[in-house]
Amino acid sequence: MQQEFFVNTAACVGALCRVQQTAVELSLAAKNAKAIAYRAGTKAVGFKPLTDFIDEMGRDTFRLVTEINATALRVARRAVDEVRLQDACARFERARRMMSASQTHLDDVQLKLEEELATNRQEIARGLRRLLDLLEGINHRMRAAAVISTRARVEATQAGDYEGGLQLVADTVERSAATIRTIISRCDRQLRDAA
Amino acid sequence: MRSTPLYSSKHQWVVFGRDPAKTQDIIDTNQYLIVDGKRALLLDPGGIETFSAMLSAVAGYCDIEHISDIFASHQDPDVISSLGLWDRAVPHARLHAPWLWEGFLKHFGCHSIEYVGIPDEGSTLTLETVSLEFVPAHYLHSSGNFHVYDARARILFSGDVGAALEAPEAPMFVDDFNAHTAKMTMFHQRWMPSNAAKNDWIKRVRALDIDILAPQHGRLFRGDDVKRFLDWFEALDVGIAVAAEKLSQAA
Repeated sequence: MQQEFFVNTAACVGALCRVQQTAVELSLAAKNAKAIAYRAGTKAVGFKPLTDFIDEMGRDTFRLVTEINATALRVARRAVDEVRLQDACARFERARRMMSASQTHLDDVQLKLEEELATNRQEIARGLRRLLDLLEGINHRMRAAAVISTRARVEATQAGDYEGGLQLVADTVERSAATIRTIISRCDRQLRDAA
Repeated sequence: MRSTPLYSSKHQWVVFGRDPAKTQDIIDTNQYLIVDGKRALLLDPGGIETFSAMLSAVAGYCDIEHISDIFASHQDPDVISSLGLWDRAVPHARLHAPWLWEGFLKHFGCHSIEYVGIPDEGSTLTLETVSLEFVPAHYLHSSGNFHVYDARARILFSGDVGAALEAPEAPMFVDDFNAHTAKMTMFHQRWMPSNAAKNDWIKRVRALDIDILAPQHGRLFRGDDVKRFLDWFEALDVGIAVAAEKLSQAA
C-alpha cells in the first residue's frame, strides 16, 4: 500500500462533500419541477412521474453519499493509523537492531504492533470494498438520471408556456448527474490506484 | 547514543545524549534514566526522532518492562514527542507531567499510559527505595514546568535551565565554566521569559544540596560549578525579546 493512500482517502472525503451538496440541488430541482408541473396541469401530465422519480433519486443519493462519507472517513482514519503503525514498527525494529541483547518484552510489543497492523490492513480492505460498492451504486443512479433528463426534455416540449421552466429542471438534473459522476469516477480511480 | 552513569549506589542515574546517528537539523538532547531495583524512571525521554536510539540505549541498563514511570518537565517536542511510542513500549507506565499540559501532551498519543498531573506546588514520587521531588520551575521556560531533585544522589534535573547549544561531540560535563557561559547566554536570555520566575527558582534551588545540576541540553555542572551557575543565572537579565520590542517602540 502506498504512503499517499491516506492523503487520497482524505481528498476523497473532501470531494464527496461536494456530491452531497449536489444531491441537495437535485432534490430542490425535483421540488421546483413539481410546482411547475402542478401549475401546468394537463400540459405537463407526462412530466409529473419524472419529478417524483427525480425527487426520490435526490433523497436516495443524499442517503448513499452520507453513508459513503462515513465509510470514507473511517477508511481515511485507518489509513492514517496504517502510516503511524508502520512508522512505529520501523522505529522498534531499528531499536531492536541496535540492542546488544534481546528483550522479551519488546519482542511482545513488536508482535502486538504487527498484529495490529495486519488487523488494520484487513479493516482498510473491507472498508475500501464497501466504499467502491457504494460508489458504484451512486454511479448506477446517475446513469439513470441522464436517461431521465433526456425524457424530461421530450416531456417539456409538450408543456406549452411552461416548457422553459421544465427545460431548466432537465438541465439541472443533467448537470448535477454529470458533476456527481465526474467526482465519483475520480474518487473511484484514486482509491483503486492508491490501494 | 552515548550513555554516562552519573550515580551508582542503591539506585542509579544515567544520562543519554550526543547521539551520533541523529540528523544535524534537530537539537541534541540529554535524556536521563533512574533505575531503582525493578522500577525505573525516564526523565524527558526525548523526541520521536531519537526514540530508537534511546530505547536501545536504555535497554542496556534495565529491562524495558521495568520502566514504571516517565517524567516530562514540560510540553516541548524535543522533551516528549516520543510519548506515542513509549505508550506502546511500556503501556503499564505512568507519565508524570505538569497538570497544565495534560490535554496538550495527549496529542502525542497517550492511550495506555496513565497521565499523572503534577500540581503547581510540586509533589514526590517514590520508586522502590528512592524518593524524588518534582520541583516547580514554572515559566522556566514553560508556563507549567517542573524539575526533579534526588536528595540521596544530590542531583537536580533542571530541564532547560542550564542548557547550552553545543557541538554534537561536546563532553558531558562543564570543564571551564567561564568559557561555557558564552554557550548559555543567548539560550537563557531568549528562552527564559521572566526574571521574577528565575529569582524565585534560584531561591528555592539554593536551599537544596546539589552535587550535579543536569540540564536537558548541553553539559552538566558538578561541584562548585553548580553554585557558579546559580550566581551567573541570577545576574543574567532574561526575557530580552520583550525588552528588544520595547526598545524598538521607543525608537
